[in-house]
Amino acid sequence: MPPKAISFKANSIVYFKGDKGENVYILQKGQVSLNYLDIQTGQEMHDFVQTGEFFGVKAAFGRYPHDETAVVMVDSTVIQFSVDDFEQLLSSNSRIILKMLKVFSNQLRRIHKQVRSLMSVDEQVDAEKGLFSVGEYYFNNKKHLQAADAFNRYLIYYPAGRFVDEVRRKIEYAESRKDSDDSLPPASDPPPKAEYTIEKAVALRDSGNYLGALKIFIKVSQINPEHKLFAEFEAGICIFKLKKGNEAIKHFTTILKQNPAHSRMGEALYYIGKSYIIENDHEKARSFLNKCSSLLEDGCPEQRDAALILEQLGGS
Amino acid sequence: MALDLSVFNRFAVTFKAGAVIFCEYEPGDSFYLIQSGKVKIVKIFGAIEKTIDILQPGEFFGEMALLEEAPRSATIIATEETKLLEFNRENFQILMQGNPQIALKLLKLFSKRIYDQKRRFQILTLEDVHARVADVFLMLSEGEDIPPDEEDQGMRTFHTSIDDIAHWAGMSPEDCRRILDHFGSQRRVEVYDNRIIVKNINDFKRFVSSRRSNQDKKES
Repeated sequence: MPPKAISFKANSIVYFKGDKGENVYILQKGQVSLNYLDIQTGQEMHDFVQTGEFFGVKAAFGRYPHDETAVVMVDSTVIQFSVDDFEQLLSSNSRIILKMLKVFSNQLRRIHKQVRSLMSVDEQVDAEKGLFSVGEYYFNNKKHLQAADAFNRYLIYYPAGRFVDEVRRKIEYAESRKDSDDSLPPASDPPPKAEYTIEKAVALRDSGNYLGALKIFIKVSQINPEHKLFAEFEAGICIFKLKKGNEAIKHFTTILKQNPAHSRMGEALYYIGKSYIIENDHEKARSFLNKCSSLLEDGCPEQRDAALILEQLGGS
Repeated sequence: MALDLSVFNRFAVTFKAGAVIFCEYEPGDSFYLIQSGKVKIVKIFGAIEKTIDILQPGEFFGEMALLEEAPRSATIIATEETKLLEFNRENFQILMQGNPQIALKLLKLFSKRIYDQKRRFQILTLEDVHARVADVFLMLSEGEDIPPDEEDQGMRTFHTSIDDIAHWAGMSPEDCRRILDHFGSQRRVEVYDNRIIVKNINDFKRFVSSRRSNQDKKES
Protein backbone atom coordinates (compact mmCIF):
# COMPACT_ATOMS: atom_id res chain seq x y z
CA MET A 1 0.00 0.00 0.00
CA PRO A 2 1.62 3.28 -1.10
CA PRO A 3 1.75 6.18 1.35
CA LYS A 4 -1.56 8.00 1.48
CA ALA A 5 -2.84 11.21 3.00
CA ILE A 6 -5.71 10.78 5.45
CA SER A 7 -7.86 13.60 6.78
CA PHE A 8 -8.99 13.43 10.40
CA LYS A 9 -11.67 15.50 12.06
CA ALA A 10 -10.89 17.11 15.40
CA ASN A 11 -11.19 14.68 18.34
CA SER A 12 -10.77 11.56 16.26
CA ILE A 13 -8.16 8.92 17.01
CA VAL A 14 -5.34 7.84 14.69
CA TYR A 15 -4.61 4.81 16.87
CA PHE A 16 -5.36 3.69 20.39
CA LYS A 17 -2.89 2.66 23.01
CA GLY A 18 -2.71 -1.13 22.81
CA ASP A 19 -3.39 -1.27 19.06
CA LYS A 20 -0.75 -3.23 17.24
CA GLY A 21 1.60 -0.92 15.37
CA GLU A 22 1.44 -1.50 11.64
CA ASN A 23 1.91 1.93 10.10
CA VAL A 24 4.05 4.98 10.56
CA TYR A 25 2.55 8.46 10.34
CA ILE A 26 3.72 11.96 9.49
CA LEU A 27 1.70 14.94 10.57
CA GLN A 28 1.30 17.06 7.46
CA LYS A 29 -1.15 19.66 8.72
CA GLY A 30 -3.03 20.27 11.96
CA GLN A 31 -2.33 19.07 15.48
CA VAL A 32 -1.98 15.63 17.02
CA SER A 33 -1.38 14.80 20.66
CA LEU A 34 0.21 11.59 21.91
CA ASN A 35 -1.37 10.68 25.24
CA TYR A 36 0.24 8.19 27.59
CA LEU A 37 0.77 7.48 31.24
CA ASP A 38 4.21 8.30 32.54
CA ILE A 39 5.61 4.96 33.65
CA GLN A 40 7.17 6.37 36.77
CA THR A 41 4.51 8.70 38.13
CA GLY A 42 1.44 7.24 36.42
CA GLN A 43 0.48 10.76 35.38
CA GLU A 44 -1.25 11.36 32.08
CA MET A 45 1.15 13.01 29.65
CA HIS A 46 0.46 14.83 26.38
CA ASP A 47 3.16 15.25 23.76
CA PHE A 48 2.29 17.30 20.72
CA VAL A 49 3.54 16.12 17.36
CA GLN A 50 5.11 18.90 15.31
CA THR A 51 4.15 19.24 11.67
CA GLY A 52 6.55 17.18 9.60
CA GLU A 53 7.28 14.83 12.49
CA PHE A 54 6.87 11.06 12.47
CA PHE A 55 4.87 9.20 15.05
CA GLY A 56 4.02 5.58 15.77
CA VAL A 57 7.50 4.53 14.65
CA LYS A 58 8.66 2.36 17.54
CA ALA A 59 5.57 0.20 17.70
CA ALA A 60 5.50 -0.21 13.93
CA PHE A 61 9.15 -1.28 13.78
CA GLY A 62 8.64 -3.99 16.33
CA ARG A 63 4.99 -4.68 15.50
CA TYR A 64 4.30 -4.04 19.16
CA PRO A 65 1.23 -2.48 20.68
CA HIS A 66 1.38 1.33 20.72
CA ASP A 67 2.00 2.67 24.18
CA GLU A 68 0.22 5.92 23.51
CA THR A 69 -3.07 7.05 22.02
CA ALA A 70 -2.75 9.47 19.09
CA VAL A 71 -5.58 12.00 19.35
CA VAL A 72 -6.31 14.57 16.64
CA MET A 73 -6.82 18.00 18.24
CA VAL A 74 -7.99 20.06 15.25
CA ASP A 75 -8.91 18.99 11.71
CA SER A 76 -5.65 17.49 10.45
CA THR A 77 -3.99 15.68 7.60
CA VAL A 78 -1.72 12.74 8.30
CA ILE A 79 0.33 10.72 5.83
CA GLN A 80 0.26 7.02 6.49
CA PHE A 81 3.21 4.78 5.51
CA SER A 82 3.59 1.05 5.64
CA VAL A 83 6.73 -0.02 7.51
CA ASP A 84 8.36 -1.09 4.24
CA ASP A 85 7.70 2.22 2.53
CA PHE A 86 8.87 4.05 5.56
CA GLU A 87 12.12 2.09 5.59
CA GLN A 88 12.63 2.85 1.94
CA LEU A 89 12.10 6.52 2.59
CA LEU A 90 14.60 6.47 5.42
CA SER A 91 17.25 4.47 3.65
CA SER A 92 17.91 7.36 1.31
CA ASN A 93 18.02 9.88 4.10
CA SER A 94 20.55 9.23 6.81
CA ARG A 95 19.99 12.68 8.29
CA ILE A 96 16.48 11.73 9.42
CA ILE A 97 17.68 8.39 10.75
CA LEU A 98 20.39 10.06 12.79
CA LYS A 99 17.89 12.50 14.18
CA MET A 100 15.56 9.70 15.17
CA LEU A 101 18.45 7.71 16.54
CA LYS A 102 19.17 10.58 18.86
CA VAL A 103 15.58 10.72 20.07
CA PHE A 104 15.43 6.97 20.58
CA SER A 105 18.75 6.81 22.34
CA ASN A 106 17.60 9.49 24.74
CA GLN A 107 14.45 7.56 25.49
CA LEU A 108 16.43 4.38 25.93
CA ARG A 109 18.87 6.06 28.25
CA ARG A 110 16.02 7.40 30.37
CA ILE A 111 14.14 4.14 30.68
CA HIS A 112 17.38 2.31 31.43
CA LYS A 113 18.04 4.61 34.34
CA GLN A 114 14.51 4.17 35.62
CA VAL A 115 14.74 0.39 35.48
CA ARG A 116 18.07 0.44 37.24
CA SER A 117 16.74 2.60 40.01
CA LEU A 118 14.03 0.02 40.66
CA MET A 119 16.35 -2.97 40.76
CA SER A 120 16.86 -3.57 44.43
CA VAL A 121 18.78 -6.83 44.53
CA ASP A 122 20.80 -6.00 41.48
CA GLU A 123 22.40 -3.22 43.49
CA GLN A 124 25.54 -2.56 41.52
CA VAL A 125 28.66 -4.00 42.98
CA ASP A 126 31.38 -1.54 42.21
CA ALA A 127 32.80 -1.97 38.73
CA GLU A 128 36.26 -2.91 39.96
CA LYS A 129 34.92 -5.75 42.07
CA GLY A 130 32.49 -6.74 39.31
CA LEU A 131 35.24 -7.05 36.73
CA PHE A 132 37.31 -9.04 39.19
CA SER A 133 34.38 -11.38 39.84
CA VAL A 134 33.96 -12.08 36.12
CA GLY A 135 37.59 -13.23 36.05
CA GLU A 136 36.99 -15.26 39.20
CA TYR A 137 34.03 -17.04 37.67
CA TYR A 138 36.08 -18.20 34.69
CA PHE A 139 39.08 -18.99 36.83
CA ASN A 140 37.05 -21.15 39.21
CA ASN A 141 35.47 -22.94 36.28
CA LYS A 142 38.87 -23.63 34.74
CA LYS A 143 38.11 -21.57 31.66
CA HIS A 144 41.62 -20.27 31.65
CA LEU A 145 41.56 -18.35 28.41
CA GLN A 146 38.58 -16.27 29.49
CA ALA A 147 39.97 -15.91 32.99
CA ALA A 148 43.26 -14.56 31.67
CA ASP A 149 41.43 -12.19 29.33
CA ALA A 150 39.20 -10.85 32.07
CA PHE A 151 42.03 -10.48 34.58
CA ASN A 152 44.23 -8.75 32.01
CA ARG A 153 41.47 -6.21 31.52
CA TYR A 154 41.37 -5.73 35.23
CA LEU A 155 45.04 -4.77 35.12
CA ILE A 156 44.42 -2.33 32.28
CA TYR A 157 41.79 -0.41 34.18
CA TYR A 158 42.94 -0.88 37.74
CA PRO A 159 46.74 -1.03 37.54
CA ALA A 160 46.91 -0.15 41.20
CA GLY A 161 43.65 -1.83 42.24
CA ARG A 162 42.68 -3.78 45.31
CA PHE A 163 43.04 -7.22 43.76
CA VAL A 164 46.18 -6.63 41.71
CA ASP A 165 48.39 -9.18 43.46
CA GLU A 166 45.83 -11.92 43.30
CA VAL A 167 45.03 -11.06 39.69
CA ARG A 168 48.66 -11.22 38.63
CA ARG A 169 49.09 -14.60 40.30
CA LYS A 170 45.98 -15.96 38.67
CA ILE A 171 46.92 -14.63 35.24
CA GLU A 172 50.21 -16.45 35.47
CA TYR A 173 48.46 -19.67 36.42
CA ALA A 174 45.73 -19.26 33.82
CA GLU A 175 48.21 -18.47 31.05
CA SER A 176 50.21 -21.58 31.86
CA ARG A 177 47.04 -23.67 31.60
CA LYS A 178 45.53 -21.87 28.65
CA ASP A 179 46.71 -24.37 26.05
CA SER A 180 45.10 -27.29 27.82
CA ASP A 181 41.91 -25.33 28.15
CA ASP A 182 38.80 -27.44 27.78
CA SER A 183 36.67 -24.42 27.00
CA LEU A 184 38.44 -24.04 23.68
CA PRO A 185 37.15 -25.72 20.56
CA PRO A 186 39.75 -28.35 19.64
CA ALA A 187 40.35 -27.03 16.11
CA SER A 188 41.96 -23.76 17.09
CA ASP A 189 45.71 -23.41 16.96
CA PRO A 190 47.61 -22.44 20.05
CA PRO A 191 48.01 -18.67 20.04
CA PRO A 192 51.33 -17.72 18.49
CA LYS A 193 53.45 -15.78 20.91
CA ALA A 194 54.47 -13.45 18.11
CA GLU A 195 51.05 -11.90 18.30
CA TYR A 196 52.11 -9.72 21.17
CA THR A 197 54.94 -7.66 19.80
CA ILE A 198 55.92 -4.08 20.27
CA GLU A 199 55.86 -3.63 16.51
CA LYS A 200 52.26 -4.72 16.27
CA ALA A 201 51.22 -2.46 19.11
CA VAL A 202 52.99 0.49 17.53
CA ALA A 203 51.35 -0.22 14.18
CA LEU A 204 47.92 -0.34 15.81
CA ARG A 205 48.65 2.85 17.68
CA ASP A 206 49.71 4.59 14.49
CA SER A 207 46.53 3.51 12.74
CA GLY A 208 44.51 5.13 15.49
CA ASN A 209 43.33 1.88 17.10
CA TYR A 210 44.30 2.86 20.61
CA LEU A 211 42.25 0.22 22.37
CA GLY A 212 43.84 -2.55 20.30
CA ALA A 213 47.27 -1.04 20.86
CA LEU A 214 46.61 -0.67 24.58
CA LYS A 215 45.79 -4.36 24.93
CA ILE A 216 49.01 -5.41 23.25
CA PHE A 217 51.20 -2.89 25.08
CA ILE A 218 49.88 -4.23 28.38
CA LYS A 219 50.47 -7.77 27.23
CA VAL A 220 54.03 -7.01 26.13
CA SER A 221 54.79 -5.25 29.38
CA GLN A 222 53.77 -8.43 31.20
CA ILE A 223 55.53 -11.04 29.11
CA ASN A 224 58.60 -9.21 27.89
CA PRO A 225 60.75 -7.65 30.62
CA GLU A 226 63.02 -6.13 28.00
CA HIS A 227 60.23 -3.92 26.65
CA LYS A 228 58.39 -3.49 29.93
CA LEU A 229 59.25 0.17 30.51
CA PHE A 230 58.49 1.27 26.99
CA ALA A 231 55.27 -0.76 26.66
CA GLU A 232 53.98 0.41 30.00
CA PHE A 233 54.58 4.01 29.05
CA GLU A 234 52.97 3.69 25.64
CA ALA A 235 49.99 1.98 27.25
CA GLY A 236 49.54 5.13 29.32
CA ILE A 237 49.53 7.26 26.19
CA CYS A 238 46.88 4.98 24.67
CA ILE A 239 44.73 5.33 27.78
CA PHE A 240 45.08 9.09 27.43
CA LYS A 241 44.20 8.93 23.73
CA LEU A 242 41.09 6.96 24.68
CA LYS A 243 40.17 10.04 26.72
CA LYS A 244 40.15 8.17 29.99
CA GLY A 245 41.64 11.04 31.92
CA ASN A 246 41.46 9.64 35.40
CA GLU A 247 42.78 6.24 34.37
CA ALA A 248 45.66 7.83 32.50
CA ILE A 249 46.56 9.94 35.52
CA LYS A 250 46.53 6.84 37.73
CA HIS A 251 48.56 4.86 35.22
CA PHE A 252 51.32 7.47 34.84
CA THR A 253 51.38 8.15 38.56
CA THR A 254 51.98 4.44 39.21
CA ILE A 255 54.77 4.38 36.63
CA LEU A 256 56.48 7.38 38.19
CA LYS A 257 56.11 5.93 41.66
CA GLN A 258 57.81 2.73 40.59
CA ASN A 259 60.53 4.53 38.64
CA PRO A 260 61.24 7.82 40.35
CA ALA A 261 64.02 8.49 37.84
CA HIS A 262 62.08 7.55 34.72
CA SER A 263 63.80 8.67 31.55
CA ARG A 264 60.53 9.97 30.19
CA MET A 265 59.51 11.87 33.29
CA GLY A 266 58.79 15.08 31.39
CA GLU A 267 56.55 13.33 28.93
CA ALA A 268 54.68 11.55 31.73
CA LEU A 269 54.01 14.87 33.45
CA TYR A 270 52.88 16.29 30.12
CA TYR A 271 50.29 13.50 29.71
CA ILE A 272 49.15 13.80 33.31
CA GLY A 273 48.65 17.51 32.71
CA LYS A 274 46.68 16.88 29.52
CA SER A 275 44.60 14.24 31.32
CA TYR A 276 43.63 16.80 33.92
CA ILE A 277 42.31 18.91 31.07
CA ILE A 278 40.06 16.00 30.05
CA GLU A 279 38.87 15.90 33.64
CA ASN A 280 38.37 19.67 33.57
CA ASP A 281 40.73 20.28 36.46
CA HIS A 282 42.56 23.24 34.96
CA GLU A 283 44.47 24.13 38.05
CA LYS A 284 46.16 20.73 38.32
CA ALA A 285 46.63 20.70 34.54
CA ARG A 286 48.49 24.00 34.75
CA SER A 287 50.75 22.82 37.54
CA PHE A 288 51.74 19.59 35.75
CA LEU A 289 52.23 21.30 32.39
CA ASN A 290 54.42 23.90 34.05
CA LYS A 291 56.53 21.19 35.62
CA CYS A 292 56.89 19.20 32.42
CA SER A 293 58.11 22.14 30.37
CA SER A 294 61.35 22.38 32.27
CA LEU A 295 62.02 18.65 31.89
CA LEU A 296 61.18 18.29 28.23
CA GLU A 297 63.68 18.90 25.50
CA ASP A 298 63.55 22.43 24.17
CA GLY A 299 61.32 22.76 21.14
CA CYS A 300 59.98 19.18 21.12
CA PRO A 301 56.30 18.89 20.11
CA GLU A 302 55.17 18.11 23.68
CA GLN A 303 56.90 21.16 25.05
CA ARG A 304 55.46 23.42 22.39
CA ASP A 305 52.01 21.98 22.97
CA ALA A 306 52.33 22.42 26.71
CA ALA A 307 53.40 26.04 26.25
CA LEU A 308 50.45 26.64 23.96
CA ILE A 309 47.96 25.16 26.42
CA LEU A 310 49.46 27.11 29.29
CA GLU A 311 49.04 30.26 27.29
CA GLN A 312 45.36 29.43 26.68
CA LEU A 313 44.80 28.54 30.32
CA GLY A 314 46.92 31.48 31.37
CA GLY A 315 44.78 34.42 32.31
CA SER A 316 41.84 32.51 33.70
CA MET B 1 24.88 -8.11 4.42
CA ALA B 2 25.69 -6.51 1.09
CA LEU B 3 27.48 -3.52 2.44
CA ASP B 4 30.75 -2.20 1.24
CA LEU B 5 32.62 -1.55 4.41
CA SER B 6 36.09 -1.86 2.93
CA VAL B 7 36.85 1.76 3.80
CA PHE B 8 36.54 0.73 7.41
CA ASN B 9 39.08 -2.05 7.16
CA ARG B 10 41.55 -0.19 9.29
CA PHE B 11 39.14 -0.66 12.18
CA ALA B 12 39.17 -4.43 11.75
CA VAL B 13 40.14 -6.54 14.75
CA THR B 14 40.27 -10.31 14.89
CA PHE B 15 39.55 -12.46 17.92
CA LYS B 16 40.37 -16.13 18.34
CA ALA B 17 37.75 -18.63 19.38
CA GLY B 18 37.15 -18.32 23.10
CA ALA B 19 38.62 -14.84 23.39
CA VAL B 20 36.84 -12.25 25.48
CA ILE B 21 35.96 -9.20 23.40
CA PHE B 22 34.86 -7.21 26.40
CA CYS B 23 33.90 -7.94 29.97
CA GLU B 24 30.91 -6.94 32.00
CA TYR B 25 31.83 -3.99 34.26
CA GLU B 26 34.64 -2.93 31.98
CA PRO B 27 34.48 0.71 30.93
CA GLY B 28 34.28 0.99 27.17
CA ASP B 29 33.35 3.38 24.44
CA SER B 30 33.49 1.28 21.33
CA PHE B 31 30.84 -0.31 19.24
CA TYR B 32 31.36 -3.47 17.18
CA LEU B 33 30.03 -4.74 13.90
CA ILE B 34 30.52 -8.45 13.17
CA GLN B 35 32.10 -9.10 9.78
CA SER B 36 32.67 -12.84 10.09
CA GLY B 37 32.41 -15.40 12.84
CA LYS B 38 30.09 -15.50 15.83
CA VAL B 39 30.01 -14.11 19.33
CA LYS B 40 27.96 -14.96 22.38
CA ILE B 41 26.65 -12.49 24.92
CA VAL B 42 26.87 -13.88 28.43
CA LYS B 43 26.14 -12.71 31.91
CA ILE B 44 27.38 -14.30 35.07
CA PHE B 45 24.84 -14.71 37.83
CA GLY B 46 26.61 -15.97 40.92
CA ALA B 47 28.01 -19.35 39.94
CA ILE B 48 26.30 -19.73 36.58
CA GLU B 49 27.12 -18.32 33.20
CA LYS B 50 24.04 -17.59 31.15
CA THR B 51 24.10 -17.09 27.39
CA ILE B 52 21.79 -14.26 26.55
CA ASP B 53 22.21 -14.22 22.80
CA ILE B 54 24.37 -15.35 19.92
CA LEU B 55 25.19 -12.79 17.26
CA GLN B 56 26.07 -13.38 13.61
CA PRO B 57 27.77 -11.42 10.83
CA GLY B 58 25.97 -8.14 10.10
CA GLU B 59 24.88 -7.79 13.70
CA PHE B 60 26.42 -5.42 16.20
CA PHE B 61 26.94 -4.97 19.89
CA GLY B 62 28.39 -2.51 22.37
CA GLU B 63 26.10 0.28 21.17
CA MET B 64 25.06 1.17 24.72
CA ALA B 65 28.55 2.45 25.38
CA LEU B 66 28.00 5.09 22.73
CA LEU B 67 25.05 6.45 24.62
CA GLU B 68 26.30 6.64 28.14
CA GLU B 69 29.49 6.24 30.02
CA ALA B 70 28.30 3.22 31.92
CA PRO B 71 30.30 0.04 32.36
CA ARG B 72 29.54 -2.78 29.93
CA SER B 73 26.43 -4.67 30.97
CA ALA B 74 27.45 -8.10 29.66
CA THR B 75 30.48 -10.08 28.59
CA ILE B 76 31.05 -10.84 24.90
CA ILE B 77 33.03 -13.93 23.89
CA ALA B 78 34.01 -15.02 20.39
CA THR B 79 32.73 -18.57 19.84
CA GLU B 80 34.84 -19.02 16.72
CA GLU B 81 37.49 -16.93 15.03
CA THR B 82 35.71 -13.62 14.57
CA LYS B 83 36.48 -10.50 12.62
CA LEU B 84 34.95 -7.30 13.90
CA LEU B 85 34.98 -3.65 12.98
CA GLU B 86 35.57 -1.53 16.04
CA PHE B 87 34.25 2.02 16.15
CA ASN B 88 34.57 4.75 18.70
CA ARG B 89 32.13 7.63 19.11
CA GLU B 90 33.54 9.75 16.30
CA ASN B 91 33.95 6.94 13.78
CA PHE B 92 30.51 5.76 14.69
CA GLN B 93 28.99 9.01 13.46
CA ILE B 94 30.81 8.61 10.16
CA LEU B 95 29.71 5.00 9.88
CA MET B 96 26.07 5.91 10.50
CA GLN B 97 26.08 8.83 8.08
CA GLY B 98 27.51 6.76 5.28
CA ASN B 99 25.51 3.60 5.95
CA PRO B 100 21.81 4.24 6.39
CA GLN B 101 21.12 0.48 6.44
CA ILE B 102 23.19 0.05 9.56
CA ALA B 103 21.67 3.13 11.16
CA LEU B 104 18.20 1.83 10.35
CA LYS B 105 19.02 -1.50 11.94
CA LEU B 106 20.24 0.26 15.03
CA LEU B 107 17.06 2.32 15.11
CA LYS B 108 15.03 -0.88 15.10
CA LEU B 109 17.17 -2.38 17.79
CA PHE B 110 16.59 0.70 19.93
CA SER B 111 12.82 0.44 19.38
CA LYS B 112 12.92 -3.10 20.63
CA ARG B 113 15.12 -2.27 23.59
CA ILE B 114 12.86 0.60 24.62
CA TYR B 115 9.86 -1.69 24.43
CA ASP B 116 11.59 -4.44 26.42
CA GLN B 117 12.77 -2.06 29.08
CA LYS B 118 9.32 -0.55 29.46
CA ARG B 119 7.87 -4.01 29.85
CA ARG B 120 10.48 -4.77 32.44
CA PHE B 121 9.72 -1.56 34.25
CA GLN B 122 6.06 -2.56 34.39
CA ILE B 123 7.00 -5.76 36.19
CA LEU B 124 9.16 -3.97 38.70
CA THR B 125 6.44 -1.47 39.61
CA LEU B 126 4.18 -4.27 40.88
CA GLU B 127 4.16 -4.16 44.66
CA ASP B 128 2.84 -7.68 45.11
CA VAL B 129 5.88 -9.96 44.74
CA HIS B 130 3.75 -12.93 43.64
CA ALA B 131 2.26 -10.84 40.84
CA ARG B 132 5.75 -9.77 39.88
CA VAL B 133 6.91 -13.35 39.36
CA ALA B 134 3.72 -14.18 37.47
CA ASP B 135 4.23 -11.13 35.25
CA VAL B 136 7.75 -12.29 34.38
CA PHE B 137 6.19 -15.44 32.92
CA LEU B 138 3.71 -13.32 30.98
CA MET B 139 6.55 -11.24 29.59
CA LEU B 140 8.50 -14.34 28.58
CA SER B 141 5.48 -15.86 26.89
CA GLU B 142 4.73 -12.65 24.98
CA GLY B 143 7.95 -13.01 23.06
CA GLU B 144 7.25 -16.58 21.96
CA ASP B 145 5.47 -18.14 19.05
CA ILE B 146 3.05 -20.57 20.60
CA PRO B 147 1.73 -23.55 18.64
CA PRO B 148 -2.08 -23.27 18.35
CA ASP B 149 -2.89 -26.35 20.47
CA GLU B 150 -0.80 -25.07 23.37
CA GLU B 151 -2.25 -21.62 22.88
CA ASP B 152 -5.73 -22.94 23.69
CA GLN B 153 -4.71 -24.95 26.72
CA GLY B 154 -2.79 -22.10 28.21
CA MET B 155 0.01 -24.40 29.40
CA ARG B 156 3.49 -22.98 28.85
CA THR B 157 6.93 -24.47 29.30
CA PHE B 158 9.79 -22.08 30.06
CA HIS B 159 13.39 -23.17 29.75
CA THR B 160 14.44 -20.63 32.25
CA SER B 161 16.19 -20.89 35.60
CA ILE B 162 14.93 -19.55 38.89
CA ASP B 163 17.88 -17.19 38.94
CA ASP B 164 16.72 -15.69 35.66
CA ILE B 165 13.18 -15.24 36.85
CA ALA B 166 14.54 -13.64 40.02
CA HIS B 167 16.67 -11.33 37.94
CA TRP B 168 13.74 -10.11 35.85
CA ALA B 169 11.53 -9.77 38.89
CA GLY B 170 14.17 -7.76 40.73
CA MET B 171 14.37 -10.04 43.75
CA SER B 172 16.81 -12.48 45.28
CA PRO B 173 16.80 -16.08 44.00
CA GLU B 174 15.77 -17.27 47.48
CA ASP B 175 12.68 -15.04 47.53
CA CYS B 176 11.86 -16.12 44.01
CA ARG B 177 12.14 -19.80 44.92
CA ARG B 178 9.82 -19.28 47.89
CA ILE B 179 7.22 -17.68 45.62
CA LEU B 180 7.53 -20.46 43.05
CA ASP B 181 7.11 -23.03 45.84
CA HIS B 182 3.96 -21.23 46.86
CA PHE B 183 2.65 -21.31 43.28
CA GLY B 184 3.67 -24.97 43.18
CA SER B 185 1.60 -25.77 46.26
CA GLN B 186 -1.37 -24.14 44.52
CA ARG B 187 -0.64 -26.36 41.48
CA ARG B 188 -0.17 -23.31 39.29
CA VAL B 189 3.41 -24.14 38.36
CA GLU B 190 5.76 -27.13 38.28
CA VAL B 191 9.45 -26.47 38.77
CA TYR B 192 12.04 -28.85 37.28
CA ASP B 193 15.80 -28.65 37.04
CA ASN B 194 15.82 -27.48 33.46
CA ARG B 195 12.37 -26.01 32.99
CA ILE B 196 9.39 -24.41 34.67
CA ILE B 197 5.86 -25.24 33.58
CA VAL B 198 3.07 -22.74 34.04
CA LYS B 199 -0.18 -24.73 34.07
CA ASN B 200 -2.43 -21.95 32.81
CA ILE B 201 -0.95 -18.71 31.58
CA ASN B 202 -4.42 -17.14 31.37
CA ASP B 203 -4.84 -17.67 35.10
CA PHE B 204 -1.62 -15.69 35.60
CA LYS B 205 -2.89 -13.01 33.25
CA ARG B 206 -6.02 -12.51 35.33
CA PHE B 207 -4.02 -12.62 38.55
CA VAL B 208 -1.54 -9.95 37.41
CA SER B 209 -4.14 -7.62 35.98
CA SER B 210 -6.30 -7.78 39.10
CA ARG B 211 -3.28 -6.98 41.30
CA ARG B 212 -2.32 -4.19 38.98
CA SER B 213 -5.74 -2.59 39.01
CA ASN B 214 -6.01 -2.91 42.80
CA GLN B 215 -2.71 -1.14 43.04
CA ASP B 216 -3.84 1.61 40.67
CA LYS B 217 -7.01 2.15 42.69
CA LYS B 218 -5.05 2.44 45.89
CA GLU B 219 -2.78 5.03 44.37
CA SER B 220 -5.42 7.24 42.86
